[in-house]
Amino acid sequence: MESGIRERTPGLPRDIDGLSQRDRLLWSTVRVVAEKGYDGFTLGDIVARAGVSRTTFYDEFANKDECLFAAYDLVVDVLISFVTEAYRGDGPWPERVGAGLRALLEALAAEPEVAKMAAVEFPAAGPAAHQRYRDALERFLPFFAEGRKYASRSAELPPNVELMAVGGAEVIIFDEVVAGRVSRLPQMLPEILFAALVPFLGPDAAATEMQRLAPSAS
Amino acid sequence: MRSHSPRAPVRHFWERRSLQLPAFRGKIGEVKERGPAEPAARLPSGRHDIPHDVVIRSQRTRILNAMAEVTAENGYVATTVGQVVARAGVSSATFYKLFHDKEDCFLAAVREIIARATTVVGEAYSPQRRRPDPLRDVIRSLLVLFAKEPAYANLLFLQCRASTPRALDLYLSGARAMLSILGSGWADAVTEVSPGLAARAALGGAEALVRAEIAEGRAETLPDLLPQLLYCALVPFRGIDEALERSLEADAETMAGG
Repeated sequence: MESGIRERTPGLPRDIDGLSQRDRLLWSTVRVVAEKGYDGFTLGDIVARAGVSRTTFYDEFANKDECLFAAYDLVVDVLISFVTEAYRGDGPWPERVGAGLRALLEALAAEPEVAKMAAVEFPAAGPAAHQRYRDALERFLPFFAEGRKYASRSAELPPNVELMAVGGAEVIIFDEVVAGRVSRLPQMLPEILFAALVPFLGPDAAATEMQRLAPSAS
Repeated sequence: MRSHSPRAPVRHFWERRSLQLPAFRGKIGEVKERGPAEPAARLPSGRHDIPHDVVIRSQRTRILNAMAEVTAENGYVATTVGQVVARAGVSSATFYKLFHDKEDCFLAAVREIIARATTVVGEAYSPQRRRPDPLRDVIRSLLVLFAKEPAYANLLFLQCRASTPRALDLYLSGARAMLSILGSGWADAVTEVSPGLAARAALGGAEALVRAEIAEGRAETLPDLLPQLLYCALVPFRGIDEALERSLEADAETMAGG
């Protein structure tokens, strides 16, 4: 929050010196996995980067997998905190959804390797990892609970309309990450916002919100 | 200021000739059109008069079914060829006569379910069966298929994302075919948004609901999602009022056992 630049491009920590041993291990895991891939890294890579001993590692985690899952949760925690921060406020709900999405997309774009790991490679590691990914998606549902109040026919909306919204946005983000276009995500904010809002607002109102974010659209 | 073209009159785009979709069939990955799945029952062993190609087809189908079941239980990564052949009741030699390796077999199982889904969609669009709401029929037919084949539903909606890049490509090619169905014919429905974007929003929302049900082990009750999925598919194109109305109609029909 100190400067405008910082505010617009929140990032994951790169300097881990001041952190606890556990957090140093977790962020080192994030970096090592992002660089070497889910299959290519070793415990030695993690402890070397964190600057801690193997003994310390085993004080904190039973094994590599436990550390990996905890690192995944930490990345999701941080992404959610960026979104929460941007979503906060008194503005109209669609605008706050847009602000939250912008924060998410900018954070992902700033870390293409982490984004790929979080959305594609880690979930492909097996059923437990894929479940973790879906759990992470569910953590975005509360941002849409307010949409029900905002919608004109709120009482009649389908029971899972929040999940439709998250799914509509997720599929676009996922496709871009798979295609190696993570850095373009912030430019796709209008389209992704449309997908997230349309189950609540319908196409006309969702398109209006979309155009609000697309300055060049005529 | 944005300008509205007059909204297209409400009509059933799904009955248009252009939506009979000749281009759709056989376009997905390497999928070829097939008839209904072959019976997977075990044929008698030892000497018999059953033609050789029938034996091979039955073995192949049993192996594919076993692959779907075992991956649904353990996930693709932890699945071994040994588990698959044990479940299928065939020898490893038979497996390797039909498939190069685990991934080859897995991809064949993915193609199998995509081919069946393609057949089901084609039937729902059949010009011989003109119905009031073909979109509803398409969604219902797919849900019934996946409910009948929970292991294959798991394979398609969960394992494809949690296995290999080639499986993901197959899944995405199937998804693109669904997108072209959803997006075609809607060009004049919403003036501000491209049909491609609206279709992606519709499909992404629907996939999330289906995936959640399957992950919770509720594939058998997927047809209950029909009203919600119809809403999801319609709302980006037709707006909330029509999406709700047709969703409620589907709900009433489901309750009436139709």
